Amino acid sequence: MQQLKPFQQLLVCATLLFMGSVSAAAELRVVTHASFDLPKPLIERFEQESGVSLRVVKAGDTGEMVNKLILSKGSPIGDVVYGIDNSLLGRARSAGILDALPASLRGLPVAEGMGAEGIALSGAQDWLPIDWGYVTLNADKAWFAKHSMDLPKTLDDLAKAEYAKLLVVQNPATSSPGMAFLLATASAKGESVWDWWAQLRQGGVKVANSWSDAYYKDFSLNGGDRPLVVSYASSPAAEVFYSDPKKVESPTANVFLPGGVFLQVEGVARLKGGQQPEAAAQFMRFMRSVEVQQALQTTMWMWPVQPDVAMDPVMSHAGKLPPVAAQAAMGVDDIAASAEAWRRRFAQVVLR
Amino acid sequence: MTPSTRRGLNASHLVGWVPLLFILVWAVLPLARLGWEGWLQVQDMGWSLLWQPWQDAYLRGRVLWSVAQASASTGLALVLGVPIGWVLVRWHFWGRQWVVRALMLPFVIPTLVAALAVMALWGSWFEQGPVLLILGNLFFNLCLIVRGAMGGFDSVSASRLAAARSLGATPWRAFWRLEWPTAKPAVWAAACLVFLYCLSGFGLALLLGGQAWATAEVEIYTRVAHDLDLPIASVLALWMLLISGLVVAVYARLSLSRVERLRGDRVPVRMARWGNGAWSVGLSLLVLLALNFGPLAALLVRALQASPAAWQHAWGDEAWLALGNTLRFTVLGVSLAAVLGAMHGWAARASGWWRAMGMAPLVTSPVMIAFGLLLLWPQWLDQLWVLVCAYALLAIPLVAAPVAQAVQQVSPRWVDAARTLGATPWRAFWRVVWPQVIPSWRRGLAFAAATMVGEFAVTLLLSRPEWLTLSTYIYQLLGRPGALNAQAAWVMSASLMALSLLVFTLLDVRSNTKPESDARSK
Amino acid sequence: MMLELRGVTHRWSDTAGQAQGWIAKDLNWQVSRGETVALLGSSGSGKSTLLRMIAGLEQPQQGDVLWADEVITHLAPERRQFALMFQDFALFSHLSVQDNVAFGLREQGLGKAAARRQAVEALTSMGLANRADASVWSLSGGEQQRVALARAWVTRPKLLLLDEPFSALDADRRAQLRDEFKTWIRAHDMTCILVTHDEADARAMAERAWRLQDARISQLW
Repeated sequence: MQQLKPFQQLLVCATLLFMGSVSAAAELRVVTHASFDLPKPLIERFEQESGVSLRVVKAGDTGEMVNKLILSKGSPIGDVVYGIDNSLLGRARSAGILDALPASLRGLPVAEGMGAEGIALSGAQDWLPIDWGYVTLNADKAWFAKHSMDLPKTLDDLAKAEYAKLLVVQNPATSSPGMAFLLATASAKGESVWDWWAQLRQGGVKVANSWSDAYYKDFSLNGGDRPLVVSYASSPAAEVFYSDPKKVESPTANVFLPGGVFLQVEGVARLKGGQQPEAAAQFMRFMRSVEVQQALQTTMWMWPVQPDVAMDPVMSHAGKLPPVAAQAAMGVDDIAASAEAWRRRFAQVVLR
Repeated sequence: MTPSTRRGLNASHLVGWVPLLFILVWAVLPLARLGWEGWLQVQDMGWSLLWQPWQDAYLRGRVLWSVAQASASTGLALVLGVPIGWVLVRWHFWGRQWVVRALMLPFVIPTLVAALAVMALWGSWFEQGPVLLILGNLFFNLCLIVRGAMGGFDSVSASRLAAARSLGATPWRAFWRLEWPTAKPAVWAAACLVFLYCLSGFGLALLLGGQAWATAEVEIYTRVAHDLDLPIASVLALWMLLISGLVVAVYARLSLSRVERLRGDRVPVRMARWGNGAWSVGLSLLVLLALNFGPLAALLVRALQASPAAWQHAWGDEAWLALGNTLRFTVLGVSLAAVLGAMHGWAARASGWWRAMGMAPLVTSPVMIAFGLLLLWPQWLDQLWVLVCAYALLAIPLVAAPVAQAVQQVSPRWVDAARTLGATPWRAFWRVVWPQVIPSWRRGLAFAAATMVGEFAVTLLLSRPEWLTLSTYIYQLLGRPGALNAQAAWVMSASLMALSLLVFTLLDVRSNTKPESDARSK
Repeated sequence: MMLELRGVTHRWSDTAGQAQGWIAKDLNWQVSRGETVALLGSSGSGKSTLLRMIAGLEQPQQGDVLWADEVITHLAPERRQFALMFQDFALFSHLSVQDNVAFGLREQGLGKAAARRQAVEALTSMGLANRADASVWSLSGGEQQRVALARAWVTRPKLLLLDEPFSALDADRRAQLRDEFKTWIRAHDMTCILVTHDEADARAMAERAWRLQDARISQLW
């Protein structure tokens, strides 16, 4: 008899809990990747001012997100997508999932620091850049000090046995920073890049599955055995922001090797077949607003695309950023054409 | 149980069709849809594609390694887990109840954290590779064997054991010729489950084994989620399904073997004393500490070492949202699985086929299901009820199996008696059969709740920020650099552990050993 | 004539559903009101199956079961009001003795308190009132079977079916219980069918005896 009661209680509980999932009002569905994060007050203000409620749908890693959009393009899972970057834009375009930008949002100016590449990207008709950053190497300063080693200066240095065994990279097939690093090295070295990667493999480079694996398991800063990791240029700044106890200097440093830096620009776009075109345009404008551009520095750890937006002081811990022009850049279509082949080649050369 | 009237037979089949349809819709259909999509892409290649995994050296290696590491892990778990299970059932010591309750904790820990915990404990002795991977497998799965063995040895009849001893058998011979054969079906069934879990292992293989030692499931995931290479992924998934299917068939057959109901004839538990059982208990606890509890302890230590700032950072607004969601989804998912699992257990009481079909959610690749669902019903994927169904799907086998076992053990004469006393088939079930099934059902629910609390594969579907759970929150913390985030992840993992222990204690109030066998005797 | 089996034909099925030997071939049988009848036969002859058919737990492949000239072959067991008692007593171990006895009364719609009261009355008349709250396991075999009788009787069944009720008891208890049951059944004027393989049981309790052999039924005495 007593066993009936808990069951009935459970049933009542379940029904009540279930009810907390009904909504009304016009909804804008935003598809993003797992790292999307904006302060709640900003979003609430947007919802109030625009009159639409925002429904964010996180679809995993950037690559996964694009694949899910491609698979479901017949019946799109969102109206607008944030997080497609220049390495995946070509793929998105050839799959035909993006809709044209409203005229008012085309050709908006971008920050000076993004250079020629940034300007080229800002001319897209179907995609609006929102933030940018670099994928590069991070080094554990304490480790290098303790072992009295110099940081590597070029990619060829990196391939030497003494440095290769200190490096952990991510698998380009499963990780977007991994892919970015591969693209950077490939566009710098051309055909000989595969010999270079083979050398790295022989030298003992470690390949992790995702950024989290590499950074939290293998990076020596967090107890691993590799003091060099492929990460973001903003990571040293984040290390200071999230330091405990509070640090004034970052424990990691950026290592900008020529050919080992990838300019990553993320943007927002309308999805073909999506609803709410007006609200979508409003959202895109919102993402380019000064408040959001300011806030995303310390929530998504990217630099703002909008010119004349003040840089958050903590970002100075990233050190001096290399001039973008110095990096050999790959066009969006070139990336799309080679990405798959290079992923397979990487698996062959480095993993098997 | 013999079918009573024609009407009764139909009703019980109908009961079984509801959960079966549920499984068909949520597991089989998406798989088929994705496979169909892959087939459309390679129509010209035709059937030769089916043999690709065996022709391509890399894929073949993956499949063979998956089977090899699953076998090795299962074997080791058996060798270690069976004696430990025996010790836990036969010897009493201070804190035994808590050891038994805490056994299932590893299940709750998110894979990434578990890997970090295992590395924290063993990382200085072992490099990333096969050994560490097997240690990780043992961390997650040793408890299953121990619990299976406990259940098996618990059903040994004391009078039979006494008879064996009086017939001249030494304690070891009595164990080997009486206790072990009695416990065998339960243990082998647990071993099948462990094998299935290790075979479909995904996150752990990558984290602890590294790319060189990835399993076939990893390959499937990469090809579907990142390459959109559906043909090869589907074919690989098909082969893995076949291999798992074989194991499931064995499991279903084993679970049908009848275990006698002991009526007050349990072997009494003895108090462990120095020189009398202390060594067995000590050794068992040592092994459990090293493999099962050690990483958990390492996790706890790291959490306690975290600074107050880290605790504050961890337990911000998002953490409370995550806690609420975890509880909400677990309650909803467990409720649904409780009903569907019980229904399936009832329908599967006498049929190996039904039991095998109930295991389908455990052998199908979650990424295939997620992407298959995306193809089938993209417009519904961000609805709460879909999420709850996905949670429930994973838990149905865990509830159905013990229920089926328990229903099978109820004497058919009880139902006959109830029917002739005026009870309709439903009333006979509710008043006479179900009360006997409830303890097993609760055990299944505890197991299901454990799986759900640490579940994050479900977020392979589309996830919404407002659906943040504790495990996705932990992954979110580990998605950003910074010491605060790292420490917060440890703090939240420890909190997750505490929450699960609470859930177990509530659900599994009478622990695995029945009160009678808690009676101590010299 | 109250209970009638008319033209009953039935074959065993094994667990795989395959047909085996015959239990009954065009069997006809009648039991009159108020009499106690024994059905004898060796083990495996199918007498238990016949009893289950009468109780409604199985259906004959051919033929009919009639009660008071009404065909009840397909009537559900819970509607027949025939009580069935088993060799292993089949008391519900999760219920106390008094709740066991009250079981059928609850199914008839009586409230918990009223049902318990009647149950205690029945137990008192059996001399088991002091065991009302005991658990089933604490009773001896003889006590358990008496509780089973109380449970069956308290629902005022039209027909009492006993399936080898004394086989699980030792010789002394057996004789004692046989006498008790016989007295009880006579006192309450019940119609009773006793299935047993033991002629002594039949002699002690029944007025007439039949034997089921080779799918045919023949009267012994």
